[in-house]
Amino acid sequence: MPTGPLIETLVLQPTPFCNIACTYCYLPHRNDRATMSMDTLRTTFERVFASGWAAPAMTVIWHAGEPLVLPPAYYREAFDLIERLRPAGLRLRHAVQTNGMLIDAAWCGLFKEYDVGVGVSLDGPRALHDTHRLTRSGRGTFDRTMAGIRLLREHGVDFHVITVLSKDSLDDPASLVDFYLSEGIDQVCFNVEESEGDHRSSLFDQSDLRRRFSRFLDGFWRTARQRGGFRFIREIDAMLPRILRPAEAVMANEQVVPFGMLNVACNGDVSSFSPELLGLKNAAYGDFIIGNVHRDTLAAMHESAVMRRMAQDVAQGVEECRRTCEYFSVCGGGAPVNKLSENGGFTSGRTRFCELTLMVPTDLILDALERLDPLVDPARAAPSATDWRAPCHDAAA
Amino acid sequence: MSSTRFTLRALAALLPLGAMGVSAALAAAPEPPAAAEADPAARTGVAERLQAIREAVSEVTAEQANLEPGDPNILKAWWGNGGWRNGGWRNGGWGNGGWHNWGNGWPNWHNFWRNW
Repeated sequence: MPTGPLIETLVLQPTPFCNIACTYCYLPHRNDRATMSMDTLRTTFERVFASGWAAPAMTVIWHAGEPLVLPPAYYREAFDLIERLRPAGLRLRHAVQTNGMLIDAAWCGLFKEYDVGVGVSLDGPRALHDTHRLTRSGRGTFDRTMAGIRLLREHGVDFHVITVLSKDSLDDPASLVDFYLSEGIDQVCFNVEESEGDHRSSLFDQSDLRRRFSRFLDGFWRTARQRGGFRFIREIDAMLPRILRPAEAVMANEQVVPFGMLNVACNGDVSSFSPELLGLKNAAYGDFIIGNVHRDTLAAMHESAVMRRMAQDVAQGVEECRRTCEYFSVCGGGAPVNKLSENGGFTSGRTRFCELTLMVPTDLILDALERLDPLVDPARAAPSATDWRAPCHDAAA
Repeated sequence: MSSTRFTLRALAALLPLGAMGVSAALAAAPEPPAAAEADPAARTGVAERLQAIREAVSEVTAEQANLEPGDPNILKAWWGNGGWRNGGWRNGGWGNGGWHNWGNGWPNWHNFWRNW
């Protein structure tokens, strides 16, 4: 087992710039058109690979801003450069999270050629999407995002969508199921509009939010699996292996492990833990920057005063979670950025974000397991007791 | 019969269905009566239930793979290591546990940073 850090996810900011202005955006520098140079990129990967801390399988997430405001040629040059530096035996996959508006045939070709993972931000049907995902002049972006999604489908590019749920989206999960199916979207992830950075969520202060989200997710899960056609519902399907795992499986949470996630800004500044910290400022930790790839080795960044202080406080927060939270075994210590935004510090425990992203899915799965138990007891089986198997065949088809 | 035995029986039936099958089967569980909806903040015993499930998954996986309890190969035989885009198990550990800006599942994908 390696004794040093293990970098499993590298989040790169090719540019802070975004071509739209969503109402719930937490990114502070989305008007900044700076670009990560190839020199910064080369230095970043030379540092990472030279450290010996890269995980055997590493994900590189290009997450801006809007990463596709840079042209396909930029990424082709970047991917080829990284490939030349990649140590033999290290598996590496690129991924982008995009608003989809700039996708064209050239992008689809690049995604396929380099097997890039693609996530598209889509908040549902037009009325929901265009409430928050707006151009800088205030116009809706639904049509252009859907045009991008349809191109991905035409070109056979695998993708998922991330849907931010706001107060208007939570009451009608069946309509979202219908919409995704009608557009051939079969891998979905939900984020509830949250408070991060300068953005204060309109939902987080609602006292019944946990119950509302639970009803939404339960309704979506049931309807989607009944209808079939969905390959992946992240909130449930990513939680299942955390819950239904053997006692031998070790729980780890990259987001609370120093260098588990390494985040690099376009100028080479580096942070760790939650990627959202890059760009924020705080009295206790300054700008969360632990070094710059042009100046510092990863070892020096790892031992920097800011990193040590953050690591100590994050670890204290994990211990608080371990000590006080019933759900610790499926979480591993929460998300530092949410602890900071909601509770004021890394050393804290439970957040509203935890309730929604971890506790609600866990509760739904545990409740479903309990209700299913009698149906698989042959001695108590009713005539319809095997009905629960039916959707499996449909879903697996 | 203890809840652990219930869980064992349910898991023995569920786990061979694979990840999507488990998701579909659980989604088809009977809905609770509306009046039975628990106060989410009042839940207790969650940690114990989760621990019981993990012990049961170990037992069921060992049995279905013809392994002795405690065999280190139980982890390899477990359905979560079967290649489904399950959200990040690899090398015996769980993914990043919570980044919500990314969302999918190469074995080193879907790392639960939730903005991807």
